[in-house]
Amino acid sequence: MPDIRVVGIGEYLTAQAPVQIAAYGLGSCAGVAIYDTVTGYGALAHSLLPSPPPGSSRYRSARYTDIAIQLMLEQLIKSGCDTSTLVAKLAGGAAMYDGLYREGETGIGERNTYSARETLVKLSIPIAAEDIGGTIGRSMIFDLKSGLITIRTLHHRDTIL
Amino acid sequence: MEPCLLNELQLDAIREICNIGMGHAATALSHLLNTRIEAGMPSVHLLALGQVHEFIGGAEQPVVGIMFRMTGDADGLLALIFPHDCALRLISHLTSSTVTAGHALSEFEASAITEIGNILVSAHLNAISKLLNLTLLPSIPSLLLDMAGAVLDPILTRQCSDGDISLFAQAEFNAVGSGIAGMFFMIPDPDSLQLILQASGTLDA
Repeated sequence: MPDIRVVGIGEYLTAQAPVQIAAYGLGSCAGVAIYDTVTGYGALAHSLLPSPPPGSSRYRSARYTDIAIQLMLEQLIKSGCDTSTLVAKLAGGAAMYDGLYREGETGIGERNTYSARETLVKLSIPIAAEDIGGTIGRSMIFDLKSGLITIRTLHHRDTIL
Repeated sequence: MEPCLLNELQLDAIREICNIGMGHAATALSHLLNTRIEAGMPSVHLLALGQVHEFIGGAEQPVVGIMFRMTGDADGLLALIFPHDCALRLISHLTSSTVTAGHALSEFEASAITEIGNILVSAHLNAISKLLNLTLLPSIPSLLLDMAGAVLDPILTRQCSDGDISLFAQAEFNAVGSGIAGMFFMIPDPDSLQLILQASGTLDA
């Protein structure tokens, strides 16, 4: 049985091969995976919102996509990873319900994706693959042995990122 | 208003409001299905973000969600969540037809279950409106068949922008002898929660 650790909503986890990290049922949430191709260390975040509201007192929480990425990077560096060998993969960021929001409120999923991309660019971590947007929920199972991520949905066959 | 700051009296008020709303919704469903409906006593939960998925029975569980925006004097979200197999039984019961297998609904099935949602939510809001003397209206429904985690994202997104606590006013109902059960959620926005408490006379309690 593989050792699968589950990342809850608003959380992140770091681990090393041969562990697998999973994030289940991502809708508009962003699933951000960072992998070190040299050490086999990896991290996965399941973030709800793009960034903290201005003046928020609890901003160092992985529930925010941008903060989650920073927290994961800090943790990976602490584990001895080098930024130059890190790659990222994204999934989630769907638009689950059209027409549910007031004007100006649309696109949490899209904003999560945007926040993830922007933060990764700022931190010079290249994005190797993405499975984002649309209107479906996704699960990510991140295999730290290979760095590959299985994307599971109710509506399509599994895909590998 | 932060849900975690609610006192017992205020939680009781919300429970009672939901109870009355659910009673009306259950009556409506019972007429629709021509069966007796048991509506459980609503419960009000304050859940940390990390507990929500476990609470609803797992993030990957396939569910049918019918989601409404509450508008009028108070804003928020209303959600009806049926486990996938219950939703199919409900549709089949209502339409006296066999339903398609797999994780997709036909247009007819989608329309049938959406209408059930409409009727239940309207009955619920109507009753609460009268009780609190507020105007509360449901939006057009949005239907989803997907993993429970993904279906609930909009609720959590609204509730947890600056806090960790999600207020779930939840009620379960069962159609006796038919194996149909579902959950009903009412999630007022923070400002609207304050308004609802005020209308119930417990804001300063």
